[in-house]
Amino acid sequence: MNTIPSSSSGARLEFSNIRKSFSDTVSVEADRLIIEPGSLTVLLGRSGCGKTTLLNLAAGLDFPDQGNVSYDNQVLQGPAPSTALIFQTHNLFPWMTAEENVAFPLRNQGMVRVEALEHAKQYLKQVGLESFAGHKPSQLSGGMRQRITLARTIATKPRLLLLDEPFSALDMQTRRMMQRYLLRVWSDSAATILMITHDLHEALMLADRIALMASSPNGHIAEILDIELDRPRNPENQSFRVIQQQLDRFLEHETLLAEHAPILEATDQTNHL
Amino acid sequence: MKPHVSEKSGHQLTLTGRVSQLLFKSNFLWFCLAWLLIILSWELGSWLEWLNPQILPPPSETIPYAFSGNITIGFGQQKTGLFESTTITLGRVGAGMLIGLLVSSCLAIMVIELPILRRLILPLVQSLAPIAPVAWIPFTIVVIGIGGPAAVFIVFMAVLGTMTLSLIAALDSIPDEYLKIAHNLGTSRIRMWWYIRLPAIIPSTMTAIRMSFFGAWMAVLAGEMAGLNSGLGYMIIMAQQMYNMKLVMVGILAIGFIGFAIDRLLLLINARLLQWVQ
Repeated sequence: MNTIPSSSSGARLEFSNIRKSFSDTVSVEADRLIIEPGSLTVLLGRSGCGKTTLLNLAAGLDFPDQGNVSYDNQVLQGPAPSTALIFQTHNLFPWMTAEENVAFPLRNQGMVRVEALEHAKQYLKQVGLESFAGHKPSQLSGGMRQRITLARTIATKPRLLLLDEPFSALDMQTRRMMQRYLLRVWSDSAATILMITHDLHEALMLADRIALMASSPNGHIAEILDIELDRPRNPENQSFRVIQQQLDRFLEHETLLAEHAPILEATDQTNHL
Repeated sequence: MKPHVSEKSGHQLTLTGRVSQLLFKSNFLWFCLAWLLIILSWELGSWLEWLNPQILPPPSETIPYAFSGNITIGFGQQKTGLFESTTITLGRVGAGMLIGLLVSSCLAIMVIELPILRRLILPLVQSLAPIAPVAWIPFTIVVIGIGGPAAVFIVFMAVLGTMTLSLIAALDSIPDEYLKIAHNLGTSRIRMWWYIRLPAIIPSTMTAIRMSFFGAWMAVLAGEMAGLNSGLGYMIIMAQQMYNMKLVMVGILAIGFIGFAIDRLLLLINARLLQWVQ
Protein backbone atom coordinates (compact mmCIF):
# COMPACT_ATOMS: atom_id res chain seq x y z
CA MET A 1 0.00 0.00 0.00
CA ASN A 2 1.15 3.50 -0.83
CA THR A 3 2.16 5.48 2.25
CA ILE A 4 1.45 8.93 0.88
CA PRO A 5 1.74 11.46 3.68
CA SER A 6 -0.95 13.85 4.70
CA SER A 7 -1.72 16.18 1.83
CA SER A 8 -2.96 19.02 3.97
CA SER A 9 0.04 21.29 3.49
CA GLY A 10 1.02 20.43 -0.08
CA ALA A 11 0.10 22.74 -2.94
CA ARG A 12 -2.13 21.73 -5.87
CA LEU A 13 -0.77 22.40 -9.31
CA GLU A 14 -2.69 22.29 -12.55
CA PHE A 15 -1.49 22.74 -16.12
CA SER A 16 -4.34 23.50 -18.57
CA ASN A 17 -3.91 23.58 -22.36
CA ILE A 18 -0.30 24.71 -22.03
CA ARG A 19 1.74 25.66 -25.06
CA LYS A 20 5.18 27.22 -24.75
CA SER A 21 7.45 28.06 -27.69
CA PHE A 22 10.96 29.41 -28.00
CA SER A 23 11.91 31.16 -31.26
CA ASP A 24 9.07 29.66 -33.34
CA THR A 25 9.79 26.14 -32.04
CA VAL A 26 7.19 24.59 -29.79
CA SER A 27 9.02 23.46 -26.66
CA VAL A 28 6.19 21.80 -24.80
CA GLU A 29 2.45 21.19 -24.94
CA ALA A 30 0.30 19.79 -22.14
CA ASP A 31 -3.49 19.49 -22.39
CA ARG A 32 -4.11 18.76 -18.75
CA LEU A 33 -1.86 17.72 -15.91
CA ILE A 34 -2.95 17.89 -12.29
CA ILE A 35 -0.38 17.48 -9.52
CA GLU A 36 -2.35 16.56 -6.44
CA PRO A 37 -1.43 18.05 -3.04
CA GLY A 38 1.17 15.97 -1.22
CA SER A 39 1.97 13.82 -4.25
CA LEU A 40 5.41 13.06 -5.62
CA THR A 41 5.24 13.30 -9.41
CA VAL A 42 8.19 12.59 -11.64
CA LEU A 43 8.57 13.94 -15.17
CA LEU A 44 10.47 11.26 -17.07
CA GLY A 45 11.72 11.63 -20.61
CA ARG A 46 14.65 12.22 -22.94
CA SER A 47 16.52 15.51 -23.15
CA GLY A 48 14.69 18.17 -25.11
CA CYS A 49 11.16 16.97 -24.44
CA GLY A 50 10.28 20.09 -22.43
CA LYS A 51 10.63 18.83 -18.85
CA THR A 52 12.58 21.86 -17.61
CA THR A 53 10.20 24.20 -19.45
CA LEU A 54 7.27 22.62 -17.57
CA LEU A 55 9.18 22.99 -14.27
CA ASN A 56 9.92 26.68 -14.94
CA LEU A 57 6.23 27.20 -15.71
CA ALA A 58 5.33 25.48 -12.44
CA ALA A 59 7.75 27.75 -10.55
CA GLY A 60 6.22 30.82 -12.14
CA LEU A 61 9.64 31.77 -13.50
CA ASP A 62 8.30 31.57 -17.06
CA PHE A 63 4.81 31.85 -18.52
CA PRO A 64 2.99 29.85 -21.19
CA ASP A 65 2.15 31.37 -24.58
CA GLN A 66 -1.20 29.66 -24.34
CA GLY A 67 -3.16 28.12 -21.46
CA ASN A 68 -2.31 28.61 -17.82
CA VAL A 69 -0.73 27.10 -14.72
CA SER A 70 -2.73 27.20 -11.51
CA TYR A 71 -1.36 26.99 -8.00
CA ASP A 72 -4.08 26.11 -5.51
CA ASN A 73 -6.64 27.06 -8.18
CA GLN A 74 -5.06 30.52 -8.65
CA VAL A 75 -3.52 31.25 -12.05
CA LEU A 76 0.20 31.91 -11.60
CA GLN A 77 1.23 35.40 -12.62
CA GLY A 78 4.62 35.52 -10.89
CA PRO A 79 6.91 33.25 -8.88
CA ALA A 80 4.91 30.49 -7.19
CA PRO A 81 4.56 31.10 -3.44
CA SER A 82 6.01 28.68 -0.84
CA THR A 83 8.00 26.92 -3.52
CA ALA A 84 11.53 25.57 -3.32
CA LEU A 85 13.73 24.85 -6.32
CA ILE A 86 16.61 22.41 -6.41
CA PHE A 87 18.85 22.09 -9.47
CA GLN A 88 21.61 19.70 -10.45
CA THR A 89 24.29 22.29 -9.60
CA HIS A 90 24.62 25.89 -8.34
CA ASN A 91 22.10 25.34 -5.54
CA LEU A 92 24.27 26.78 -2.78
CA PHE A 93 25.77 30.24 -2.86
CA PRO A 94 29.51 29.48 -2.83
CA TRP A 95 30.46 32.68 -0.99
CA MET A 96 28.33 31.70 2.02
CA THR A 97 29.12 29.00 4.57
CA ALA A 98 26.77 26.01 4.96
CA GLU A 99 24.93 27.65 7.87
CA GLU A 100 24.72 31.02 6.10
CA ASN A 101 23.18 29.27 3.09
CA VAL A 102 20.56 27.62 5.27
CA ALA A 103 19.97 30.81 7.26
CA PHE A 104 19.60 32.94 4.12
CA PRO A 105 15.85 32.36 3.51
CA LEU A 106 15.21 32.84 7.24
CA ARG A 107 17.00 36.19 7.11
CA ASN A 108 14.88 37.03 4.03
CA GLN A 109 11.84 36.49 6.23
CA GLY A 110 13.17 39.05 8.70
CA MET A 111 14.71 36.77 11.32
CA VAL A 112 17.70 38.31 13.12
CA ARG A 113 21.09 36.91 12.15
CA VAL A 114 21.95 35.13 15.41
CA GLU A 115 18.57 33.44 15.59
CA ALA A 116 18.66 32.48 11.89
CA LEU A 117 22.09 30.89 12.29
CA GLU A 118 20.88 29.00 15.37
CA HIS A 119 17.93 27.65 13.41
CA ALA A 120 20.24 26.81 10.49
CA LYS A 121 22.37 24.64 12.78
CA GLN A 122 19.25 22.69 13.77
CA TYR A 123 18.32 22.11 10.13
CA LEU A 124 21.88 21.03 9.35
CA LYS A 125 21.63 18.57 12.21
CA GLN A 126 18.62 17.00 10.52
CA VAL A 127 20.78 16.13 7.51
CA GLY A 128 23.72 15.08 9.69
CA LEU A 129 25.98 18.01 8.77
CA GLU A 130 25.96 20.23 11.86
CA SER A 131 29.73 19.83 12.21
CA PHE A 132 30.21 21.35 8.74
CA ALA A 133 28.23 24.51 9.51
CA GLY A 134 31.24 26.78 9.00
CA HIS A 135 32.42 25.17 5.76
CA LYS A 136 32.09 26.78 2.35
CA PRO A 137 30.44 24.65 -0.38
CA SER A 138 33.79 24.31 -2.19
CA GLN A 139 35.11 22.44 0.85
CA LEU A 140 32.31 19.86 0.71
CA SER A 141 31.47 16.87 -1.50
CA GLY A 142 28.63 16.90 -4.02
CA GLY A 143 26.42 14.78 -1.78
CA MET A 144 27.04 17.03 1.24
CA ARG A 145 26.15 20.10 -0.82
CA GLN A 146 22.86 18.55 -1.90
CA ARG A 147 22.12 17.61 1.73
CA ILE A 148 22.69 21.23 2.75
CA THR A 149 20.37 22.25 -0.10
CA LEU A 150 17.77 19.90 1.38
CA ALA A 151 18.35 21.41 4.84
CA ARG A 152 17.71 24.88 3.39
CA THR A 153 14.62 23.53 1.66
CA ILE A 154 13.31 22.22 4.99
CA ALA A 155 14.00 25.64 6.52
CA THR A 156 11.75 27.36 3.98
CA LYS A 157 8.88 24.94 4.75
CA PRO A 158 7.79 24.81 1.10
CA ARG A 159 4.38 23.61 -0.02
CA LEU A 160 5.74 22.82 -3.46
CA LEU A 161 9.17 21.37 -4.15
CA LEU A 162 10.49 21.50 -7.72
CA LEU A 163 13.56 19.43 -8.47
CA ASP A 164 15.45 19.53 -11.77
CA GLU A 165 17.62 16.39 -11.92
CA PRO A 166 18.95 17.15 -8.44
CA PHE A 167 21.02 14.01 -8.02
CA SER A 168 22.27 13.34 -11.54
CA ALA A 169 25.78 14.69 -10.80
CA LEU A 170 26.23 12.33 -7.85
CA ASP A 171 27.67 8.83 -7.74
CA MET A 172 25.29 5.90 -7.42
CA GLN A 173 25.68 5.37 -3.65
CA THR A 174 25.30 9.06 -2.79
CA ARG A 175 22.32 9.23 -5.11
CA ARG A 176 20.60 6.37 -3.24
CA MET A 177 21.31 8.12 0.07
CA MET A 178 19.93 11.42 -1.26
CA GLN A 179 16.79 9.67 -2.48
CA ARG A 180 16.19 8.42 1.06
CA TYR A 181 16.76 11.93 2.44
CA LEU A 182 14.29 13.32 -0.08
CA LEU A 183 11.65 10.76 0.87
CA ARG A 184 12.17 11.66 4.52
CA VAL A 185 11.75 15.39 3.78
CA TRP A 186 8.64 14.61 1.72
CA SER A 187 7.20 12.44 4.46
CA ASP A 188 7.91 15.03 7.19
CA SER A 189 6.68 18.07 5.27
CA ALA A 190 3.85 16.56 3.18
CA ALA A 191 4.87 19.01 0.45
CA THR A 192 3.93 18.41 -3.16
CA ILE A 193 6.96 17.37 -5.17
CA LEU A 194 7.46 17.68 -8.92
CA MET A 195 10.76 16.21 -10.00
CA ILE A 196 12.60 15.80 -13.28
CA THR A 197 14.85 12.82 -13.82
CA HIS A 198 16.37 10.78 -16.63
CA ASP A 199 16.95 7.91 -14.28
CA LEU A 200 14.24 5.31 -14.61
CA HIS A 201 15.27 3.51 -11.42
CA GLU A 202 15.18 6.79 -9.47
CA ALA A 203 11.75 7.60 -10.85
CA LEU A 204 10.40 4.24 -9.71
CA MET A 205 12.02 4.42 -6.30
CA LEU A 206 10.48 7.82 -5.56
CA ALA A 207 7.36 8.58 -7.54
CA ASP A 208 3.76 7.82 -6.83
CA ARG A 209 3.02 9.20 -10.30
CA ILE A 210 5.18 9.30 -13.40
CA ALA A 211 4.40 11.58 -16.33
CA LEU A 212 6.13 10.13 -19.37
CA MET A 213 7.20 12.83 -21.76
CA ALA A 214 7.77 12.40 -25.47
CA SER A 215 9.60 14.78 -27.75
CA SER A 216 7.98 14.10 -31.11
CA PRO A 217 6.47 15.98 -32.84
CA ASN A 218 6.59 18.52 -29.98
CA GLY A 219 7.38 17.99 -26.30
CA HIS A 220 4.25 16.58 -24.67
CA ILE A 221 3.02 14.28 -21.92
CA ALA A 222 2.51 10.93 -23.58
CA GLU A 223 1.22 8.98 -20.60
CA ILE A 224 0.68 9.26 -16.87
CA LEU A 225 1.31 6.20 -14.72
CA ASP A 226 0.20 5.80 -11.12
CA ILE A 227 2.89 3.83 -9.31
CA GLU A 228 1.09 1.82 -6.69
CA LEU A 229 4.06 0.08 -5.13
CA ASP A 230 4.62 -0.36 -1.41
CA ARG A 231 7.23 1.81 0.34
CA PRO A 232 10.07 1.33 0.98
CA ARG A 233 10.37 0.06 -2.56
CA ASN A 234 12.36 -2.97 -3.51
CA PRO A 235 13.88 -3.10 -7.00
CA GLU A 236 13.87 -6.90 -6.76
CA ASN A 237 10.08 -6.89 -6.45
CA GLN A 238 8.28 -8.43 -9.45
CA SER A 239 5.84 -5.50 -9.82
CA PHE A 240 8.74 -3.05 -9.70
CA ARG A 241 10.46 -4.95 -12.53
CA VAL A 242 7.34 -5.10 -14.65
CA ILE A 243 6.83 -1.34 -14.47
CA GLN A 244 10.55 -0.79 -15.05
CA GLN A 245 10.39 -2.87 -18.24
CA GLN A 246 7.33 -0.96 -19.39
CA LEU A 247 9.08 2.38 -18.84
CA ASP A 248 12.25 1.06 -20.42
CA ARG A 249 10.33 0.12 -23.56
CA PHE A 250 8.83 3.61 -23.72
CA LEU A 251 12.24 5.29 -23.39
CA GLU A 252 13.78 2.90 -25.93
CA HIS A 253 11.00 3.71 -28.39
CA GLU A 254 11.61 7.44 -27.80
CA THR A 255 15.33 6.97 -28.41
CA LEU A 256 14.66 5.10 -31.66
CA LEU A 257 12.29 7.81 -32.79
CA ALA A 258 14.92 10.46 -32.09
CA GLU A 259 17.62 8.49 -33.91
CA HIS A 260 15.44 8.01 -36.98
CA ALA A 261 13.68 11.34 -36.87
CA PRO A 262 15.30 12.65 -40.10
CA ILE A 263 14.37 9.42 -41.93
CA LEU A 264 10.82 9.55 -40.58
CA GLU A 265 10.50 13.19 -41.61
CA ALA A 266 11.77 12.33 -45.07
CA THR A 267 9.33 9.42 -45.28
CA ASP A 268 6.51 11.72 -44.21
CA GLN A 269 7.36 14.16 -46.97
CA THR A 270 7.50 11.32 -49.55
CA ASN A 271 4.07 10.08 -48.40
CA HIS A 272 2.65 13.55 -48.74
CA LEU A 273 3.98 13.76 -52.29
CA MET B 1 73.35 4.03 13.85
CA LYS B 2 71.18 3.59 10.80
CA PRO B 3 68.16 5.42 12.15
CA HIS B 4 70.46 8.25 13.24
CA VAL B 5 71.90 8.58 9.70
CA SER B 6 68.53 8.53 8.08
CA GLU B 7 67.30 11.08 10.62
CA LYS B 8 70.23 13.37 9.77
CA SER B 9 69.81 12.97 6.02
CA GLY B 10 66.09 13.57 6.47
CA HIS B 11 66.89 16.82 8.26
CA GLN B 12 69.33 17.81 5.51
CA LEU B 13 66.71 17.00 2.89
CA THR B 14 64.23 19.19 4.70
CA LEU B 15 66.71 22.06 4.69
CA THR B 16 67.48 21.53 1.01
CA GLY B 17 63.79 21.32 0.34
CA ARG B 18 63.23 24.56 2.15
CA VAL B 19 66.01 26.31 0.24
CA SER B 20 64.78 25.01 -3.11
CA GLN B 21 61.24 25.96 -2.16
CA LEU B 22 62.45 29.47 -1.33
CA LEU B 23 64.42 29.66 -4.54
CA PHE B 24 61.85 28.28 -6.93
CA LYS B 25 58.55 29.24 -5.35
CA SER B 26 59.18 32.62 -3.78
CA ASN B 27 58.12 35.30 -6.23
CA PHE B 28 59.82 37.89 -4.05
CA LEU B 29 63.21 36.22 -4.43
CA TRP B 30 62.82 36.06 -8.20
CA PHE B 31 61.77 39.69 -8.20
CA CYS B 32 64.93 40.64 -6.25
CA LEU B 33 67.11 38.49 -8.49
CA ALA B 34 65.75 40.06 -11.69
CA TRP B 35 66.38 43.57 -10.37
CA LEU B 36 69.81 42.65 -9.08
CA LEU B 37 70.77 41.50 -12.60
CA ILE B 38 69.50 44.75 -14.13
CA ILE B 39 71.34 46.87 -11.54
CA LEU B 40 74.57 44.91 -12.02
CA SER B 41 74.35 45.21 -15.84
CA TRP B 42 73.61 48.93 -15.51
CA GLU B 43 76.59 49.44 -13.17
CA LEU B 44 78.84 47.35 -15.42
CA GLY B 45 77.70 49.35 -18.47
CA SER B 46 78.64 52.61 -16.74
CA TRP B 47 81.96 51.20 -15.47
CA LEU B 48 82.91 50.01 -18.98
CA GLU B 49 81.77 53.43 -20.28
CA TRP B 50 79.15 51.87 -22.59
CA LEU B 51 76.57 54.11 -20.90
CA ASN B 52 77.08 57.84 -20.49
CA PRO B 53 76.93 58.55 -16.71
CA GLN B 54 75.80 62.12 -17.45
CA ILE B 55 72.67 60.77 -19.16
CA LEU B 56 72.25 57.54 -17.20
CA PRO B 57 73.91 57.87 -13.78
CA PRO B 58 75.06 54.47 -12.45
CA PRO B 59 73.20 52.69 -9.61
CA SER B 60 76.11 53.43 -7.24
CA GLU B 61 75.07 57.11 -7.49
CA THR B 62 71.31 56.77 -8.15
CA ILE B 63 70.47 54.37 -5.30
CA PRO B 64 72.18 56.35 -2.48
CA TYR B 65 70.52 59.47 -3.94
CA ALA B 66 67.11 57.74 -3.82
CA PHE B 67 67.57 57.02 -0.11
CA SER B 68 69.16 60.37 0.79
CA GLY B 69 65.79 61.57 2.06
CA ASN B 70 66.12 65.04 0.59
CA ILE B 71 64.95 64.66 -2.98
CA THR B 72 63.45 67.90 -4.19
CA ILE B 73 63.44 69.84 -7.43
CA GLY B 74 62.38 73.29 -8.59
CA PHE B 75 62.19 76.64 -6.91
CA GLY B 76 59.55 78.63 -5.10
CA GLN B 77 55.99 77.51 -5.76
CA GLN B 78 57.18 74.99 -8.34
CA LYS B 79 59.35 73.17 -5.81
CA THR B 80 58.35 69.57 -5.30
CA GLY B 81 59.75 66.42 -3.73
CA LEU B 82 59.58 62.69 -4.41
CA PHE B 83 57.39 61.86 -1.43
CA GLU B 84 55.03 64.79 -2.01
CA SER B 85 54.72 64.02 -5.75
CA THR B 86 54.10 60.33 -5.12
CA THR B 87 51.38 61.12 -2.55
CA ILE B 88 49.67 63.53 -4.97
CA THR B 89 49.73 61.02 -7.85
CA LEU B 90 48.48 58.15 -5.67
CA GLY B 91 45.70 60.36 -4.30
CA ARG B 92 44.61 61.24 -7.84
CA VAL B 93 44.60 57.61 -8.96
CA GLY B 94 42.69 56.57 -5.83
CA ALA B 95 40.09 59.32 -6.16
CA GLY B 96 39.64 58.83 -9.92
CA MET B 97 39.32 55.07 -9.59
CA LEU B 98 36.87 55.34 -6.69
CA ILE B 99 34.64 57.78 -8.57
CA GLY B 100 35.00 55.65 -11.73
CA LEU B 101 34.01 52.50 -9.80
CA LEU B 102 31.02 54.24 -8.20
CA VAL B 103 29.73 55.69 -11.48
CA SER B 104 30.30 52.46 -13.43
CA SER B 105 28.53 50.50 -10.65
CA CYS B 106 25.54 52.85 -10.90
CA LEU B 107 25.47 52.47 -14.70
CA ALA B 108 25.72 48.67 -14.45
CA ILE B 109 22.89 48.55 -11.86
CA MET B 110 20.72 50.74 -14.10
CA VAL B 111 21.38 48.50 -17.10
CA ILE B 112 20.38 45.37 -15.15
CA GLU B 113 17.38 46.89 -13.37
CA LEU B 114 15.98 48.79 -16.35
CA PRO B 115 16.59 46.73 -19.50
CA ILE B 116 15.49 49.63 -21.73
CA LEU B 117 18.54 51.59 -20.50
CA ARG B 118 20.82 48.82 -21.80
CA ARG B 119 20.10 50.04 -25.33
CA LEU B 120 20.92 53.61 -24.35
CA ILE B 121 23.92 53.14 -22.06
CA LEU B 122 25.76 50.24 -23.73
CA PRO B 123 26.48 51.98 -27.08
CA LEU B 124 27.76 55.03 -25.22
CA VAL B 125 30.04 53.01 -22.95
CA GLN B 126 31.22 50.85 -25.85
CA SER B 127 32.20 54.06 -27.68
CA LEU B 128 34.01 55.47 -24.63
CA ALA B 129 35.94 52.32 -23.72
CA PRO B 130 38.28 52.22 -26.76
CA ILE B 131 39.40 55.86 -26.30
CA ALA B 132 42.97 55.80 -24.99
CA PRO B 133 43.15 57.65 -21.65
CA VAL B 134 45.93 59.94 -22.97
CA ALA B 135 43.54 61.17 -25.67
CA TRP B 136 41.55 62.91 -22.91
CA ILE B 137 44.56 64.97 -21.76
CA PRO B 138 44.32 67.92 -24.22
CA PHE B 139 40.56 68.12 -23.76
CA THR B 140 40.87 67.99 -19.96
CA ILE B 141 43.57 70.67 -19.77
CA VAL B 142 41.46 73.03 -21.90
CA VAL B 143 38.17 72.38 -20.12
CA ILE B 144 39.21 71.70 -16.49
CA GLY B 145 42.69 73.16 -16.26
CA ILE B 146 46.01 71.85 -15.00
CA GLY B 147 45.23 71.12 -11.35
CA GLY B 148 44.27 68.04 -9.37
CA PRO B 149 40.65 67.81 -10.60
CA ALA B 150 41.91 67.49 -14.18
CA ALA B 151 44.12 64.54 -13.19
CA VAL B 152 41.24 62.88 -11.34
CA PHE B 153 39.04 63.36 -14.42
CA ILE B 154 41.65 61.69 -16.67
CA VAL B 155 41.80 58.70 -14.33
CA PHE B 156 37.99 58.62 -14.18
CA MET B 157 37.71 58.56 -17.97
CA ALA B 158 40.44 55.92 -18.15
CA VAL B 159 38.46 53.50 -15.97
CA LEU B 160 34.83 54.39 -16.70
CA GLY B 161 34.33 52.55 -20.01
CA THR B 162 36.22 49.36 -19.21
CA MET B 163 34.88 49.12 -15.65
CA THR B 164 31.27 49.58 -16.78
CA LEU B 165 31.61 46.99 -19.54
CA SER B 166 33.34 44.55 -17.15
CA LEU B 167 30.66 44.99 -14.49
CA ILE B 168 27.80 44.52 -16.98
CA ALA B 169 29.49 41.41 -18.43
CA ALA B 170 30.05 40.03 -14.91
CA LEU B 171 26.42 40.66 -13.92
CA ASP B 172 25.17 39.06 -17.15
CA SER B 173 27.23 35.95 -16.57
CA ILE B 174 25.96 35.16 -13.05
CA PRO B 175 24.57 31.60 -13.31
CA ASP B 176 20.83 31.79 -13.79
CA GLU B 177 20.32 29.18 -11.07
CA TYR B 178 21.62 31.53 -8.35
CA LEU B 179 19.13 34.21 -9.30
CA LYS B 180 16.23 31.77 -9.68
CA ILE B 181 16.95 30.19 -6.29
CA ALA B 182 17.45 33.54 -4.54
CA HIS B 183 14.22 34.78 -6.09
CA ASN B 184 12.50 31.65 -4.95
CA LEU B 185 13.85 32.02 -1.42
CA GLY B 186 12.01 35.32 -1.14
CA THR B 187 15.05 37.59 -1.56
CA SER B 188 14.18 41.26 -1.79
CA ARG B 189 15.60 43.42 -4.56
CA ILE B 190 18.15 45.10 -2.27
CA ARG B 191 19.23 41.83 -0.64
CA MET B 192 19.52 40.31 -4.13
CA TRP B 193 22.11 42.97 -4.99
CA TRP B 194 23.96 42.88 -1.70
CA TYR B 195 24.03 39.16 -0.95
CA ILE B 196 23.83 37.52 -4.38
CA ARG B 197 24.88 39.71 -7.28
CA LEU B 198 27.69 41.60 -5.53
CA PRO B 199 29.54 38.53 -4.15
CA ALA B 200 28.95 36.65 -7.41
CA ILE B 201 30.72 39.33 -9.48
CA ILE B 202 33.63 39.96 -7.10
CA PRO B 203 36.08 37.60 -8.91
CA SER B 204 35.70 39.28 -12.31
CA THR B 205 35.38 42.76 -10.76
CA MET B 206 38.67 42.37 -8.92
CA THR B 207 40.39 41.41 -12.18
CA ALA B 208 38.79 44.43 -13.88
CA ILE B 209 39.99 46.71 -11.05
CA ARG B 210 43.55 45.40 -11.43
CA MET B 211 43.49 45.97 -15.19
CA SER B 212 41.92 49.41 -14.75
CA PHE B 213 44.56 50.36 -12.21
CA PHE B 214 47.35 49.94 -14.78
CA GLY B 215 45.42 52.10 -17.26
CA ALA B 216 44.72 54.74 -14.61
CA TRP B 217 48.31 54.74 -13.32
CA MET B 218 49.70 55.26 -16.83
CA ALA B 219 47.06 57.86 -17.72
CA VAL B 220 47.68 60.07 -14.70
CA LEU B 221 51.46 60.00 -15.19
CA ALA B 222 51.04 60.86 -18.87
CA GLY B 223 48.74 63.72 -17.85
CA GLU B 224 51.24 65.03 -15.30
CA MET B 225 54.00 64.85 -17.89
CA ALA B 226 51.88 66.54 -20.51
CA GLY B 227 51.03 69.67 -18.55
CA LEU B 228 49.40 69.09 -15.15
CA ASN B 229 51.23 71.11 -12.51
CA SER B 230 52.12 68.54 -9.86
CA GLY B 231 52.63 64.81 -9.23
CA LEU B 232 55.22 62.18 -10.03
CA GLY B 233 55.02 62.70 -13.81
CA TYR B 234 55.46 66.46 -13.37
CA MET B 235 58.47 65.87 -11.10
CA ILE B 236 60.15 63.67 -13.75
CA ILE B 237 59.57 66.25 -16.51
CA MET B 238 60.92 69.03 -14.27
CA ALA B 239 63.97 66.88 -13.40
CA GLN B 240 64.57 66.28 -17.11
CA GLN B 241 64.30 70.00 -17.88
CA MET B 242 66.76 70.81 -15.07
CA TYR B 243 69.00 67.97 -16.22
CA ASN B 244 68.80 66.06 -12.91
CA MET B 245 69.01 62.62 -14.50
CA LYS B 246 69.39 60.89 -11.14
CA LEU B 247 65.95 62.15 -10.18
CA VAL B 248 64.55 61.13 -13.58
CA MET B 249 65.78 57.59 -12.92
CA VAL B 250 64.51 57.61 -9.32
CA GLY B 251 61.10 58.80 -10.57
CA ILE B 252 60.92 56.08 -13.22
CA LEU B 253 61.91 53.40 -10.70
CA ALA B 254 59.36 54.77 -8.20
CA ILE B 255 56.59 54.46 -10.85
CA GLY B 256 57.55 50.83 -11.46
CA PHE B 257 57.87 49.83 -7.82
CA ILE B 258 54.67 51.57 -6.68
CA GLY B 259 52.70 50.06 -9.58
CA PHE B 260 54.10 46.63 -8.73
CA ALA B 261 53.36 47.03 -4.99
CA ILE B 262 49.76 48.13 -5.58
CA ASP B 263 49.18 45.27 -8.01
CA ARG B 264 50.49 42.81 -5.37
CA LEU B 265 48.24 44.43 -2.79
CA LEU B 266 45.21 44.03 -5.06
CA LEU B 267 46.18 40.39 -5.65
CA LEU B 268 46.39 39.85 -1.89
CA ILE B 269 42.95 41.42 -1.35
CA ASN B 270 41.68 39.27 -4.22
CA ALA B 271 42.97 36.09 -2.57
CA ARG B 272 41.42 37.07 0.79
CA LEU B 273 38.05 37.91 -0.74
CA LEU B 274 37.86 34.90 -3.01
CA GLN B 275 38.60 32.01 -0.70
CA TRP B 276 35.26 30.48 -1.72
CA VAL B 277 36.16 30.18 -5.42
CA GLN B 278 36.63 26.53 -6.35
